[in-house]
Amino acid sequence: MAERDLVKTGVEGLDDILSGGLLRGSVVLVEGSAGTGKTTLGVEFIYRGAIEFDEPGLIVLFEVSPDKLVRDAALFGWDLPELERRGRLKIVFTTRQVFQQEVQQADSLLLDEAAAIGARRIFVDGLVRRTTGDSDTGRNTPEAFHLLAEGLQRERLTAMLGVEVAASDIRLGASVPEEFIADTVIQLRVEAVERAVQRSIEIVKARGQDYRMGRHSFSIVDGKGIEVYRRVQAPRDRLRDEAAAFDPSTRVSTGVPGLDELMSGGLFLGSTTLVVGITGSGKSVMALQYVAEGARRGERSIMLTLDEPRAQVLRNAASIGIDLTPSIEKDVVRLVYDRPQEIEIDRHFLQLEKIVKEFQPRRAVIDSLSTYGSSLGPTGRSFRDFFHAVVALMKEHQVTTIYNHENPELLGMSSVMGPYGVSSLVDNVILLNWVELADTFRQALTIAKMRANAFDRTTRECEIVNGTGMRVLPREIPPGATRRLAFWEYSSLVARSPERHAQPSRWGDAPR
Amino acid sequence: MLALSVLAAIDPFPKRRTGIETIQSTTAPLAARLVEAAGLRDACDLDLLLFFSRHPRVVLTSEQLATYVGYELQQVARALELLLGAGLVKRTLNQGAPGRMYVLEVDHAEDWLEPLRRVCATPDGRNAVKVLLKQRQSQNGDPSPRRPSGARPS
Repeated sequence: MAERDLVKTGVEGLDDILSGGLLRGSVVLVEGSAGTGKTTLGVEFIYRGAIEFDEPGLIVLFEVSPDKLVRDAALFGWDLPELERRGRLKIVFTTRQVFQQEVQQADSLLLDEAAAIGARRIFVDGLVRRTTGDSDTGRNTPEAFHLLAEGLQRERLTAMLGVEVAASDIRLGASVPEEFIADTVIQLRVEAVERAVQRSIEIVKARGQDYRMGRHSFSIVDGKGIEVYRRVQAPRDRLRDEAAAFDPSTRVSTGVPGLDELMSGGLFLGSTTLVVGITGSGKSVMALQYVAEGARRGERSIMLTLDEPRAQVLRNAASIGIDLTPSIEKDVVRLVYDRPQEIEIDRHFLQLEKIVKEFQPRRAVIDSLSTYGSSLGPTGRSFRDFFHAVVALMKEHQVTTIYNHENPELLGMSSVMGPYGVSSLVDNVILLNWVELADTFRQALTIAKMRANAFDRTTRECEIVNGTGMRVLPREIPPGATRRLAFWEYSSLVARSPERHAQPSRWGDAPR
Repeated sequence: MLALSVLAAIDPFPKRRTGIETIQSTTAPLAARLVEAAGLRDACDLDLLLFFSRHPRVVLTSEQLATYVGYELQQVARALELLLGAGLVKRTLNQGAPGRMYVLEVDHAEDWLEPLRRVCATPDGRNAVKVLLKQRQSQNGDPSPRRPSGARPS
């Protein structure tokens, strides 16, 4: 099959969702309402072409004056006047009427200007979409647009045409004839999410080429330009699932004394573990010990937290005798903090994906799923899709991952994840509970699930001690250690109705 | 012709004290030098030049150009002749199309155009230049166009 002549836009992430770029000579409609980023996208397309791909370009403006465009581009570090001086760019201001007539001329002044610098790209900013009910002025008819497309094609220019469209038209998904004529249609949106807004980009049509469907997120970043983040739930490589081969022999130690023994030696490599418990029940402590154990063994670990900034994580670690700083300095451990407010999940996931691919950790902690849940909401598919994607990513790279999840129940537990029903996706579930016995809250640990592995199902007492961290206590309290009864002497601890056995059960509850 | 080195030594943004008179009294010497260097005769000359400095490459009909600049067609045509004659603007015609291409040739004006733009970037500065142009018009009648400093002979 002949190799396709693709034009890379150079816009970060956009070529990925376009499966490599635009077909050369395409006419691309970039539709969106005011403020959605059409001009920025078009100018970056031209700028990257000139700078990175040796493809000079022409920018045609109807509304924005060129000096304002130059000023705004400078915010992204794009020196357009310098490109003009070097003969890589021309910026032309005109009117829609003149432009339409110009492009149809075989000896067009505009296209002569493009030819003079060997332009391969053109961006026309500010075309107006003809909507149903418009009077036919003869200028904005489909025929006129067709002639425009022909004119651009005659010069073999890859053209981006910024088209102003009412947000309501985009929402309604109303098609207009221009969309049928154009080779590619890209829609930009600014969408309300609660009281915040998010930008999204969607390829609704790309004639003759594959592309990633759906709405992807993007940001306009000062000093850089546009960054497109493929939507989290977009299908990844088929290899990802195949790579998640199950290794039944390699175990990964949790770093919590007494816990590995309950799991026949530790977690499976590449497995997914959910640690569930109310706040203060020891999830983060367990996570820190898991990371510290990795560091002790020289295994790279990442801890991704939405709950606590880096300094707070380091302080918490220090309180249980863990100094993570040397491991961070040696780049064995990476702490990644992202603010949970207004989290853009596609961008966030892309960052995580980059870290995992580049850093290749063996261990990971996500602290916590409940914060993702509260950011993304329990309804809809956002949370579930995100979690699916993270699990797939970690399995592909064989990263043994612990996901903390805060359960709201103070005593015991009636459901593992409440409305966030994704526990079926995980391999292992560890429950951390408070149980109230006499006048004391005591800490209980139960392994509720461990896929394809024999494990100890008894609820065990554990403790967190300042300076040393968490440990799982032996089932039998050593004689003389404390004046309290061991957990095995009770029933229904996790069911929130602890009751002391009158005598050791005939089911053999007493430790053997 | 004005020594251009003098222009460079003048602060185009004198500290504002109070009122338009202050602005004019501090801006006027610079404005006078810039107007002299540019060879401007009236407000239309100025506004057309500023339009081209904001839009250095345009394709427009004559009527559209006049509308953008905000003057009568005849006034704009006269101002355009000045800029074309001075080599500050290059015009390309295309017989088959109504639009004409105008390209600002900044090489001929780099010493004074940017200072002039900066002076005119504020309403007060632009007004000061216009007041000056009016004064010159009333003093000199309607002078024939001068060739701007550094401009090529047409």
